[in-house]
Amino acid sequence: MQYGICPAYARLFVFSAIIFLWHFGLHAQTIKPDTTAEFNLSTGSIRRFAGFKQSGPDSIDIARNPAANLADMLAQKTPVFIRSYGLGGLATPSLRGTGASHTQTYWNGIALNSPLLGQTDLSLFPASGFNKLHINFGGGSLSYGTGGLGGSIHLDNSFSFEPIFKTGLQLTAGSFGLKSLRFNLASGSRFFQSRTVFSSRSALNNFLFRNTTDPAKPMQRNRHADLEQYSFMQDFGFNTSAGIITISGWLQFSRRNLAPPMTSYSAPESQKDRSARFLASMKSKAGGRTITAAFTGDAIEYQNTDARLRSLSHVNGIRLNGNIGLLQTEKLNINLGSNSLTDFCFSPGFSGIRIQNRHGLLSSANYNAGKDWDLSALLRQDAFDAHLTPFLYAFGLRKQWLSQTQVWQLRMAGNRNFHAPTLNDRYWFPGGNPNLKPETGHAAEAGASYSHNGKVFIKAEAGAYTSLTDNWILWIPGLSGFWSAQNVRKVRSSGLESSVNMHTQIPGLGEWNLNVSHQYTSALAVEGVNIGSLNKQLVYIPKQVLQSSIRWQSSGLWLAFEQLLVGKRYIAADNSAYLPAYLLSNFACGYNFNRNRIGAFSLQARGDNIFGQVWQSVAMRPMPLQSFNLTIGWSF
Amino acid sequence: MKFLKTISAFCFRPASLIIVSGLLFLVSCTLDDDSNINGNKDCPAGKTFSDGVYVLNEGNFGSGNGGISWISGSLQLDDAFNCANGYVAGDVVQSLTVQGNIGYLVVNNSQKIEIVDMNTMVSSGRIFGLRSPRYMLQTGEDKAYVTDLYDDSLAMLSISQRRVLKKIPASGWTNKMVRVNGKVYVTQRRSQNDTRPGGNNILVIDPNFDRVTDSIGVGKGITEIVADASGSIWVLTEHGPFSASPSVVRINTNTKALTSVNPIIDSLEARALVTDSSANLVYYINGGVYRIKTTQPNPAPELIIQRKGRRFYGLGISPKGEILVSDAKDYTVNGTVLRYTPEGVLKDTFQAGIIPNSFIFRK
Repeated sequence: MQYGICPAYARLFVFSAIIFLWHFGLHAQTIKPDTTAEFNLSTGSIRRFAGFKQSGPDSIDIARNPAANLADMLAQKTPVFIRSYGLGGLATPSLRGTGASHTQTYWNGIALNSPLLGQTDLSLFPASGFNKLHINFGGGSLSYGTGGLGGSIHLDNSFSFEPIFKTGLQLTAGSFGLKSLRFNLASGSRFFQSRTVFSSRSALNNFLFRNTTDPAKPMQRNRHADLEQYSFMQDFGFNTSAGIITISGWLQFSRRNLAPPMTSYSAPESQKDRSARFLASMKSKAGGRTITAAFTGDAIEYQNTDARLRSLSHVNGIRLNGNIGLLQTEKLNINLGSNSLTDFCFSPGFSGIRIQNRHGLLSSANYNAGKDWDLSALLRQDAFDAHLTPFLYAFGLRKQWLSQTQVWQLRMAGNRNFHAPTLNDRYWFPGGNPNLKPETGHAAEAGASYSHNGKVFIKAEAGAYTSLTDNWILWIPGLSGFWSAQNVRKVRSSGLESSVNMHTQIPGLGEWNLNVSHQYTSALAVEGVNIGSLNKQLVYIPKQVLQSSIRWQSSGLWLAFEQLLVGKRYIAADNSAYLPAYLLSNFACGYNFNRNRIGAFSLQARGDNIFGQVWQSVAMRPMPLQSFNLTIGWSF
Repeated sequence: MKFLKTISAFCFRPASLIIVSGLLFLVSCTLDDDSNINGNKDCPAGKTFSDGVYVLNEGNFGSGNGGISWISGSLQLDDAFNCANGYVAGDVVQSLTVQGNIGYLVVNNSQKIEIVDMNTMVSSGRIFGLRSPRYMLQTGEDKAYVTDLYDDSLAMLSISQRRVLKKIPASGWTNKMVRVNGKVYVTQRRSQNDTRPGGNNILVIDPNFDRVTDSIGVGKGITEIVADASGSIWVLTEHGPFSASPSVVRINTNTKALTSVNPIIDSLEARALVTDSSANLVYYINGGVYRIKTTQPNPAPELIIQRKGRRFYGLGISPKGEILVSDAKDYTVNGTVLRYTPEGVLKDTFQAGIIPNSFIFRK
């Protein structure tokens, strides 16, 4: 790594950690229990960073599609563009024109991106099971960690510490052998809470598609794409006089066959993914003091029977996050935080076990000048394997004008961020390059919103962003004849984002909710590429994405119709070839039966791509035409 | 029931029907499938291909964006196969073996051979039953061998029956072939993580018995093989017999004596060994393009085309002696073909597809 060497940095970090722990312990003795607030397990130092865009699917959308995986949910309901290798195949995110490794995924503030590839496969995660699913765009992710040049996806759980006993079961069956089960149980008191979520999903994914690469262009079944996935989450929360203590565990197992591309007659690939994640957190009732320790273990077993290849990769990680409030007043909060990540990786791509250390110290301030102004600022210094990385900053402000029914809001923000090269980038043999520099980017964004809360609630938002990322890492053919990782490209991403949300209750016509959002993304390689690719849109980044949905509900009955229009995506760096635009239309309806002494039942049906759009997310990877599923739910 | 009442209350209200019908009307369109996988735009109907050159574009693994460009004079066509047949050739267009007017297009990761009319590029059928085919060589009137990356064997085809008759065991990655004095010489390569035995020899197969009868050790990782007019074999190896560097080696097929003509020490980018039509000149890429006069007892390689920052990948010598070399650029964009005089003077350039790997000349 070519960073400035800082031999004293590790000692500085240890010293800071000791001060931090002492500070937490001192104050922990003086806090009285508080049972009213909701405690989020996540540990970012600024949860709502002024000026940066934040969004996410609403809880109703998630509840009404219990069999969806995270990739499907984000694609349909958020500005995250998902690149999917078919049903059950690898699905990676792209935010604001960046690559898959430039979106960080956090579970309760714990980084989940693989240190080997730098990305997460969102098809492995269930969409339901979390209390909150949201996205921080751009520099809004910096209080959680680095690397989110596009932003970060957060899977958060929380406790309310009120007497509760709640349980539910949802069973889904659908097209292509889909079977899904989700069970949840939440119980507790003012002092103890337990939350259990188990979900399983299996599917044959043997849908029909027209194989346009075959001379006869036959309708044929998708082969070798069956999968089974299991997820078990358990959270315990203890409300003590010292603070809130939480212990969480999340186990996942996935087995899937990987469908071949349309052009291939052989189907030799399969993969197993196993994950175990444990987290213990202590959070003070006041003063913003939090410490979280976590263990993450991931194993990926890839098999290719044609190549007689069986590859097993293991990654075990330790995560330590902390935050202390140096100053906590009504208007001004100043926090000191730290993120520490150590990964022990074994991969057949490099010899032996590689250990990767990432440590970050950050200081953040949030100034709230009444109802009108919010200012946030963050400074951050990280070290990567004992080498200092670029100094980072983020700042943002939000100004709003309030009246009784209307709110006007302006926001603007800027930041510097970096994405460190992955272990595969650095050490994969052959081609890994230990001398890679981090990808470094500057970004700025601004936006405005208007909301009116009358008979009809309307919220309209529009924003623009731009970023310039240098030293973008690409694997390129090298002199050795092997591809190797190099810092080659400079990329400018800019775009416009807008959305409108309307909500109203019409007497006799029920409750209506309408959402429309649009993203325009320009992601151009402006340096470091051959002349044919210069100033051309990056591959697999659509310029236009339009999402819309309408929901209606009345007396337990609900209907929803949603659409996703994705513009054409270039699949060659010189933009000489592309995949066409597609428009997916989904319909869902359901009925919630009245609660009786054995609980409440619900019935819901869903149809995806109901107009049978032929589409591909990745070239030569077919996607299904119409599909349907039916869910029976019970809750108590 | 309340459930039914709710539904009927909604359905029979005119405003509900208008709203829902309007939405469905607005959105029930689907978009046309106007995909442009290979960048093909103009496909002349009934096009015949004569007096020009086919350029095989491998495409990227798993992307199905390989194809065949056609260049004739100043005219060119991006993907002749797609134009003629209405579908893409497949995934990794590896090689094209020509027998008269019939071409056998080996598509590696589609595990097939397309049988095409060389005048029209229209496919008349396919041969399956292959695991990861690489190159094909006719070894008898109705017989051909096909090498394979993964299968630890060569496939023996019946040309008339268009099917695999048998497999000839040969451990490891079998690659290019040449036939000299009634024997078939097959190169073996080895990929980085390949732990199979083999990968270091030239296998000698007697087509009368369709089995490996002998082998010649020539360093490690033999990638290319051609025969010259005298019956000697020339090979390009990743690790030569006399040094760890890639080498061009001449083999006397009678005595199996090896002569290292050019230990290539300054670059590992050695590939694409070809001969001219007389088989008295051997050309290869080592960064730039080199030429060896095979008739000389101690030939010295001559640099005839300098690299100048380009990534030379495929090489071909036309019947007129013109040198065609492809620049694969960064392997993700369309490559170019550069045409040089026999003396190495650039005449013109053409656009090709992604990773142009070889040339097939049509008089």
